[in-house]
Amino acid sequence: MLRYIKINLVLMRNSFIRDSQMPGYVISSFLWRILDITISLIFFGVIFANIQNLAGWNYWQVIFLYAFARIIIVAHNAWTKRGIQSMATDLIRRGEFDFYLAKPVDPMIMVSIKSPRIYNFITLIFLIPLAIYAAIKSGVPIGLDNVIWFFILAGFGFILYYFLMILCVIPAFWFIRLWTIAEIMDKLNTFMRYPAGIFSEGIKIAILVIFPIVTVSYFPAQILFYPPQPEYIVFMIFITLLFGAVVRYLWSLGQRTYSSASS
Amino acid sequence: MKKYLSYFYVSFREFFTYKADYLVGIIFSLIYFFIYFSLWKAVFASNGQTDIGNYTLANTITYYFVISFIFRLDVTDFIYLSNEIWNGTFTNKLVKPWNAVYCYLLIALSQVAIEILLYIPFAIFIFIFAASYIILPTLTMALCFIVTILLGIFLSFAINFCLHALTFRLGDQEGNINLVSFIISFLAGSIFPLTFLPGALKTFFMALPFRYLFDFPANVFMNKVPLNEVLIGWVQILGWGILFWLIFAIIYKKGLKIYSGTGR
Repeated sequence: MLRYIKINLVLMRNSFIRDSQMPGYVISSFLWRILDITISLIFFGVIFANIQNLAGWNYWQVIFLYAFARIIIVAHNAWTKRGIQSMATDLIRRGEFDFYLAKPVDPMIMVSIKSPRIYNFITLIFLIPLAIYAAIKSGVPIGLDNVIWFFILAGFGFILYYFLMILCVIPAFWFIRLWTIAEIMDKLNTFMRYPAGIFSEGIKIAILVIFPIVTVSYFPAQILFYPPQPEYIVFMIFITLLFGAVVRYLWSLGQRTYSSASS
Repeated sequence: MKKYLSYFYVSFREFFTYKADYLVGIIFSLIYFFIYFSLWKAVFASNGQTDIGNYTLANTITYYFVISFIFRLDVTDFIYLSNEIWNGTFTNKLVKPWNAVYCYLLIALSQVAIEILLYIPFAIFIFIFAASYIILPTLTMALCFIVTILLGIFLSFAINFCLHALTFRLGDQEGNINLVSFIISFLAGSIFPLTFLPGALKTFFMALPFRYLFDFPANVFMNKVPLNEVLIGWVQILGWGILFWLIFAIIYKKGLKIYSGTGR
């Protein structure tokens, strides 16, 4: 564990030095994210100009859900996204995955943390206060037990999101040139910003159980605003562990088919 | 002309080799349609509203159906001019006996053709899924819609080429192009119908040329634009397109003089 923390710190430092040389990239990437947040807020403004609540959630609760979902996404964008995406675009196709197989570390973790974008964490400076402000403005009484369970489930949500990201790129072991899978999570992320109640039963099963992208953000947010329900907590823990096991299994299966051939 | 047709055909064949990539991209792009479908159904159902900003639920769902199609025609991701100027491979196009700009145009068009071809079954699937909500155009408006989107492609090319040509003078523009493209697509109405915007903001968005890329064609499809306004719209698209194309021509011509072909 300590070894991974040390490697991670070195890679973060490296990212800081590297990205500091590219202020243009850092600024445009930062502006892009701020703009994305602004546009989303305008969009929610347009929706709530016509309604009082969306599937039982008021405006500020939905803003909280959005901000919380973005916090998880941004944290992974800054930390693991680039590394994981490179599995789909470069590492397997060019045979560069050899490098990580030959190291005395877990290849899945090593690939995930190999290319952090440390400056992307800056967006959290806006998102965390937005989430706190929205939670306060929601007008829903939030108890200490809600907050504690929220943080516990948020931790599980963070890990579950990581497993889902990995799951998306695992097909790269079999389909060598399928770059689009690197972008799948960006599209699926959109589900996370809305209350699950707006979706039909079929879609709900798909996004809460089969590919639980909405579980990542919705369950922790739900537990913050409403009395903690044991079945939610058990489900969140169970599904995270289940997906962890599935991802581990599929990754090792894929790794066995990896032939190191480049093209 | 023949050599450009061959170039288009070769590009089409080359990109079609990786059709699985396009297919996966299209399948996951459809997610947006289903999210907005669920979202607006919930919005309209929540307090029994029949219309928002002159849009019924059927109008709104049709809007997203048309938008999902127009996204397939969006050339933003298919133009490689900036990247090739920056890495020097642009030289390869310059030294060959053809117009480099036409080549980028044909490469983008070949990918648009693939996207349309692969999108057809999915469009049918969406149509069947949301049949009761989708408004079909009259024959006249269907023809007007086709002309509008063709003009929209021209406008989109002109705007994008302007941005890409800035690479000659300003260096790597990938980040800025992505940023500006994102802003343009928002201003164009790719996220929600512009009519949903409140007063002053709506007027501002409507005054910009970008609405001709998404919002205007979608409204033409839904028979919401009178024929005379469609004609005025076409003149405006052409006007804006020619203006952006002239700006591009100036930047490009000056850019060629300073292009060193060094590559990075």
